[in-house]
Amino acid sequence: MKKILLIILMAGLFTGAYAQDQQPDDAKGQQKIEALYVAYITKTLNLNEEEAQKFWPVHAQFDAELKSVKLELPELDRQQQQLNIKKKYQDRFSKILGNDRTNDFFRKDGEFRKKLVEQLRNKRQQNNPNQRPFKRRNF
Amino acid sequence: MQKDKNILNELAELGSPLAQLPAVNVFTVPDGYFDHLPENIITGIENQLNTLSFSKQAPVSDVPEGYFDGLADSILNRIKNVPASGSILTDSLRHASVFNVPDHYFDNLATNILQRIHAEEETELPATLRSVQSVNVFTVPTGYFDALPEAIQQKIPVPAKVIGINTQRSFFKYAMAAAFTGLLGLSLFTTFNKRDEKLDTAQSALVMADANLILKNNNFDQELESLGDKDIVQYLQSNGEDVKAALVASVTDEKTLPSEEEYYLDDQVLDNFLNQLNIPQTINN
Repeated sequence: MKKILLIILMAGLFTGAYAQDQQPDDAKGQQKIEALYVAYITKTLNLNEEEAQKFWPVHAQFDAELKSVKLELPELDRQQQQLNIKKKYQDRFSKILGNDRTNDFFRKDGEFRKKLVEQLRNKRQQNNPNQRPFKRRNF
Repeated sequence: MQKDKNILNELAELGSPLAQLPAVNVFTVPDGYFDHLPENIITGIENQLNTLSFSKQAPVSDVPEGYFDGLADSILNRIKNVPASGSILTDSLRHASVFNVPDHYFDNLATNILQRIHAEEETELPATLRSVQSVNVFTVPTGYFDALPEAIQQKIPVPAKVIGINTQRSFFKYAMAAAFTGLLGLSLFTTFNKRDEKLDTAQSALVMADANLILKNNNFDQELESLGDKDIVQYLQSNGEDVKAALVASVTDEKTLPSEEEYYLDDQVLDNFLNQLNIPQTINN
């Protein structure tokens, strides 16, 4: 009986310790991007401390709901669900930021992603220097 | 008939006189004796029967006709006519009282019996005992019997406690084990759940601290450039972004597609361009 108890206790401790140590590089990278996002939104929307204290908890719920939309859904269904969530949170954000800045937030949210994609593209082009540089197209 | 030599030798060793007997058959019968033996025996039996005084045909004595019809009645009548003789059998048959006692014999019978018993006891008891015959010689202190049960109980040795392996006990054991396991499981679950919440809170606090640092140092662009390819892809995917499509779209937005001349010079120009973005499979799809 004592042995069994000891084993259970050890297993519990080990699991706890293992769970605590689980902070892989991936999570650190994601944390850095999230920090960049917060910094970008805070700066571009010019959020003051009071607004930030109200805004970011609501944003955390908004973010969690957006992430809960299944990626396997048909593209338009997925976009529709994402749009529904954005509309649902529009009122809540407006109460904190006002209508204009809420619109601005959705715009800046998209811009941040574009910046990331751009960054990704640049990195890939830099990492493939063997390819001949293309002439810029003039529209 | 021959004598077995082995048996003879054995008898001789034992010193039996039988070994000395000559091997001669002492019993003899005339020739053909057994051939006519059964007939002879039957003839002998018949001769014997003939010598007896009665034969099968002649009855031993004659009985008058209807003799047995009135036999029982005549016997009873003769018995009844016999004067009382004291015989139990004949008297009971005649419904006469067989046993007689003197008048008022049973009136004093009990007293008589008791008197005789006392008389016999007196003759049997010695003189010394006869004097104390009716005296109670056994005495006990007053209240002796009141304390007796307790005194007996005290003298009985206390038996050792027997701890049995009964089912009720084992049931409680298992119940306790189950309850303990349940509690342990619950506590572990709540601990880890809290830990997850703590991790989330801690992580969001770290994110906020990092963000503040970026704003303070004004190094957003440097931090953006330091991001890894893999991290960006993971972040975009977790936010429901189609990375390949977004990459192509970003190219068109930036007006960085190859110029018309490029297509004249090299028919693989678009493939090369997409390869540069690490999305060659987009062409095939």
